[in-house]
Amino acid sequence: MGSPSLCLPPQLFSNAFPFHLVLNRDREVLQAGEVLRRVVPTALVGSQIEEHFQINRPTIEFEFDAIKKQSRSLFILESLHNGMQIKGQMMCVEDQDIIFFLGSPWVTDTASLTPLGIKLKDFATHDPVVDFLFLLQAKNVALADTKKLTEELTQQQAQLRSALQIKENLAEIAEAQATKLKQALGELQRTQTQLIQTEKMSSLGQLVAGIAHEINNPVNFIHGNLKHANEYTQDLLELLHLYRQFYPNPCLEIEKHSETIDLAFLTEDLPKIISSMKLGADRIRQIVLSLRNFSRLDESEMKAVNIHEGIDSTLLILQSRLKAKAEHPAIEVIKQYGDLPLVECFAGQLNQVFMNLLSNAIDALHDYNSQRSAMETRRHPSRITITTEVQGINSVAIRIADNGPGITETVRAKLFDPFFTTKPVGKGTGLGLSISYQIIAEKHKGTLRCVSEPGLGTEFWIEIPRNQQGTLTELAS
Amino acid sequence: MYGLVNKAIEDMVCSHFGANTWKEIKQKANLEMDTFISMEGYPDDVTHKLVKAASEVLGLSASEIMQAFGEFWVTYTAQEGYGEMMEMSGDNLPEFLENLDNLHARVGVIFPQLNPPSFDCTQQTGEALNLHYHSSREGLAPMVVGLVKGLGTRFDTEVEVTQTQSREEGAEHDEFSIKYKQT
Ligand code: HEM
Ligand SMILES: Nc1ncnc2c1ncn2[C@@H]1O[C@H](COP(=O)(O)OP(=O)(O)OP(=O)(O)O)[C@@H](O)[C@H]1O
Ligand SMILES: [Mg+2]
Repeated sequence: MGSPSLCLPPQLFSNAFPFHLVLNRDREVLQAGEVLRRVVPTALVGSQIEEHFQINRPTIEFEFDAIKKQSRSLFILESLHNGMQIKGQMMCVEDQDIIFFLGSPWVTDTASLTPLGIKLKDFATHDPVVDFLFLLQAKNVALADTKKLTEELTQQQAQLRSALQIKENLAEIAEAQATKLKQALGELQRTQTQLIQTEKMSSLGQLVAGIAHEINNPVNFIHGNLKHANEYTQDLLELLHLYRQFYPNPCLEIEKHSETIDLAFLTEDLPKIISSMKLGADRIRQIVLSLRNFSRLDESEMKAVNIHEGIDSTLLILQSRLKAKAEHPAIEVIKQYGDLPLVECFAGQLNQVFMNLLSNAIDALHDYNSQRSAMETRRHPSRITITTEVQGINSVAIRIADNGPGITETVRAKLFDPFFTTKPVGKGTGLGLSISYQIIAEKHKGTLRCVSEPGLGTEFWIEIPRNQQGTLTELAS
Repeated sequence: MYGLVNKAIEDMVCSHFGANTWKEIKQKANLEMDTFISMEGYPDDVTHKLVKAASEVLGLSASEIMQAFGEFWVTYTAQEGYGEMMEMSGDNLPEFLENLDNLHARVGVIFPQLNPPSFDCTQQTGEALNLHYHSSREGLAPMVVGLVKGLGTRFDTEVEVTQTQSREEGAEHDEFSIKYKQT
């Protein structure tokens, strides 16, 4: 291909460059594009270029040779009338001594066209400025989209956050309510336990107290009269003796009757019978005393009592279960009582604890024996050891130990739980130990512990203060 | 078809029937996206689904909707930042129709991922012309009718559009006979 030989006719050239200018050496405008002529308020052709434009780039003046030298530069002309910038290039036609300026307005948004008095239509069809403007427009739309989406997103995020917050709050509330509920349930269970046990014990106590009271009168009656019966018997026997001494040969009928009733034996046995009756009555009186001692329910306030008396009266009530029977051998009770001072306590309640611990030990031993061979039972007889001692300055300890089966780790973990029992339905309510724990820990500010291992027996430790500090300070204040 | 088209459908439905109707339509169309990005190209299927769902929900035929949409599109694009582009394309109906191809050619240049239609005018007289519509898409001819009517409104010109040739009936392209009278 050779060098170009064709060129546009002037009219078409003008269409293709609606913003072009042609200058001569004297900077006179010889020709201008149609649109440019339209937007410049005064006649452009024939005037001096510097009356209408200044050169922003490069930094030169409108001087023919200077411009000619910059034929490779990007030129930016600025209209002195409205500030319109035209971007383009200067081309020198040497033989005619003229310079062409080819370019088009440089705008970065469509809105700035209107103040300049030009429209998109004014640009040549090939001019990429139009597409550039559209592209910018598209970019702006995209940007607006992004902004809107971002706003939506931010809003959604905020909503999400607040929803999360609400959820968290709800969870917190739920948790708080759950703990409250758990507490309330525990409280309820405790009250129920207490109620049942109080009911149980108070009816047992009332029964015992009632029986003790009913028996007390006739027994005292018997006991009181036995003394007289003994005296009268002695007197009568004395009299009989005297009769025999002074009438050694009674009549036949007397002789015969004496033989029938075996007078010799009778006179010898009667005092013995009376003294054994006295022993029996004494025994009954002692039991009645124990019963009353045990059921000291009426006592709602603390009293300084002898702990050993409480234990003994409890043992007395449990006597029948300790003795040998057809179905189980006897349980030996070993008392290792220390030298205890009086202890300030609710005696009735403390007896209740002894009762629970001792019955549990007896239950365990009976159960154990029913599973062991007679041989083994004989070799290792069942035993309950009760030890009491002073502990430190202000405490006493009572230990009730048995040599029964012991307690496994799993059972031990739940031992003091209300309603926990391993006994068959109807036999155990599972309240004994939980009540005992409450009585010792809460009512007496003491401790109740269990030391046990399977096969090595069980020992319950009770430790309570001799004086109830709380009560003392309460009284003081 | 690019997002602006789908957005325009959304705008049209919302402005005429409310946001809840749009929600219903969108749900019915069963689309994956929630909002449309103007400058993003979407599968034509999305637009078709929207038109179908809209016709079911609104109880209008698909071609009625397309025609309505065509009319709406003219004002919508003018508002959505394409006013200068519209302006550039002509000061009266025949001039604008003449430039329609140019307009879409530029659109194709600017967004190479799009596939705009092409147009061509023949037998131009003072009050009539034939508009030829070439498209890679199916079934959009009713929209052209709406668009031309919309343009008529824009230029205060009475128009009468009749489709004289249809691809659906085996023609190579769609052709419309347009009669107009400036008021
Ligand atoms: C500023 C105004 C307008 C803009 C920015 C514009 C732009 C577009 C765009 C971006 C598309 C979609 C192309 C694709 O996704 O592949 C399109 C499609 C279309 N445009 Fe326009 N348009 C405008 C005005 C008009 C007018 C006034 C008509 C009148 C006939 C028209 C007729 C059509 C038709 C029929 C389609 C359907 C697409 C097809 O058949 O492939 N447009 N236009
Ligand atoms: N000395 C012990 N040896 C072995 N296990 C024991 C002993 N004391 C208590 N246990 C176990 O602890 C459980 C709970 O005892 P607790 O006294 O609280 O209830 P209970 O005896 O089953 O029923 P209740 O005393 O209410 O009649 C018993 O079921 C038993 O399994
Ligand atoms: Mg028990």
